[in-house]
Amino acid sequence: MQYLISNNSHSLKYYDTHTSALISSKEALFPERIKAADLDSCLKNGLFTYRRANEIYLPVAGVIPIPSRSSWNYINGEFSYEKSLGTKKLNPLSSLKRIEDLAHKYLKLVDGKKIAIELSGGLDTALIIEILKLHGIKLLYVGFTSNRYEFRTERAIQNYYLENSYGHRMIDYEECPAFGSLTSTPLHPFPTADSLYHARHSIIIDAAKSLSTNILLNGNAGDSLLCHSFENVSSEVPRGYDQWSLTDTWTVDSIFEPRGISYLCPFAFEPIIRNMIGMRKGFPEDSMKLWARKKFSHILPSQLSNFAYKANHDCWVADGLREASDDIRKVVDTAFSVTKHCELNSASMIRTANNYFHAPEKVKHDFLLKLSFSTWVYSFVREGML
Amino acid sequence: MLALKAVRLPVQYDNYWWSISPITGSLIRHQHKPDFAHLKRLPENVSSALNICENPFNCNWDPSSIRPSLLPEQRIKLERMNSRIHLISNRRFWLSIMYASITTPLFNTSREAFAEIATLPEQIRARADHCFQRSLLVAKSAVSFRRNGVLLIGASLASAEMHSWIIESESQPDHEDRNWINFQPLLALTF
Repeated sequence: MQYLISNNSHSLKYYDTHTSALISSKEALFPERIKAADLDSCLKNGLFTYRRANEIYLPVAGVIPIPSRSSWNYINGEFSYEKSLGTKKLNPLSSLKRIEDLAHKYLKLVDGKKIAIELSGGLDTALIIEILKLHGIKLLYVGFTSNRYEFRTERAIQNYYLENSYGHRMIDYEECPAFGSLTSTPLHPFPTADSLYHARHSIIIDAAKSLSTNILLNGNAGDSLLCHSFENVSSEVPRGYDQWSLTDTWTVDSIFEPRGISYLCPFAFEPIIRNMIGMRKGFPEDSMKLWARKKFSHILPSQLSNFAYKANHDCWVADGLREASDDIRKVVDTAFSVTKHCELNSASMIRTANNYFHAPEKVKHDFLLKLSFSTWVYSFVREGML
Repeated sequence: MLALKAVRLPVQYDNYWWSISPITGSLIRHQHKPDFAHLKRLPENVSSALNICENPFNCNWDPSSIRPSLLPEQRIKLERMNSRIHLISNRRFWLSIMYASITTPLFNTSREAFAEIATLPEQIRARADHCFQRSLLVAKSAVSFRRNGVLLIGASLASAEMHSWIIESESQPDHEDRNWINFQPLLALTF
């Protein structure tokens, strides 16, 4: 059997393999279908996030996510990405001016409303801030900060912007450990690694609401557009750079939209993608984003145009995993009691969590995958649906 | 005569003090602040290197890559030194430092040395695992290191990961190393 499944809408849908219908996130919650074999499907799917690579995926509990404006092949129980339904033509006249004009066009849509941005202290967010500042936008800032040694460069950039902010709410990373509140993960139709960080997004929503805004921008997708190689690109947006694959689809659908916040990623707006790739067409991989630092040096603070080092958040993850031991035990034991899958062993998972950064890559990968699966099962049990 | 100096730089994290043993290279956790008398007066080059580590924006940074041209016999020499450093450093931390401190000049600057050493098979295969050997080899083979260089070994204390890098004349000469700012320097070596 072979089908082509298209989601023409601008929102995430799920394909129900039992009824052959596209359904919404709420309609796609099928706890009664969960079985041990679903973990095997997850293991085959790999570390699933909603920014999927172009590979083959298996349904879990009889559903598979179909991102907005995309078509998928469904052949003998397997899904593979077919094409984007959006405009794919690269802009041959791409330029910084064109990107600024696009920003102006989008800003008209939110004219007069308060806009906040997640202030990470990195290059991508700074680029968005500076382009919006060119249009006179009085941005509010929310985000995480830390006194940790390795965070000092990001902290310096954050302070640079906060000095002249129109309002901000910064939260200590230590108040929101990675993998926090695993037992409160919201109900969601498909196990995904994206769900493991739900708590940090909830805290950011509280921060945005405390500043009375419901529009929150983020600098996600900058890495994809500014680092990756576009040496062999034709005149179209290459596979893997569609709007849905550069956006935090799960987070928007499961965390932000239910709480009335528009969580927008300017780098993932379709015309911005087409222009940015158009500008970088022919350029090789650029992990330090030297192209962007030079191209935008006239608007960036000198700390970012003359500097290319990046803090990693390993400590945040390591500390978070250690603190999450009790939750890990609870969700994994619950998932085992439902599925009886022998791979779900909480003692072994906690050992990996405590030694995460010294574990082989395969062990880390499977750990995150099993934890994603377990929190997904646990959320149904917590809600009394299993 | 060798002018080898090892300066321990203990830091506090998570209610403990941490340092690196210059003899074994091990990360050590102390209940109380270690009493290292030398900390009261750090050598000027170490102090300057630590200032760069603390304020990376002040680091002179050149994003362009270079590729020095070694003569074939020099390349063979470099490969031989690299093999020896790997052989010794895996088991004899201090001995490998002693070996590196006996200079064999092949490059004018550490930047040139890093660029060439990055092309050695071990470095291509597992660059992240061989930062210490790479830094030692640079210290041994670059003329500028003995004048202005400081080899630092640091740790990311939450994950207990360790890293080694060089600061020389207010720059970090390893073009491919973006990760050094994430590690807190705990041991400084000068030759």
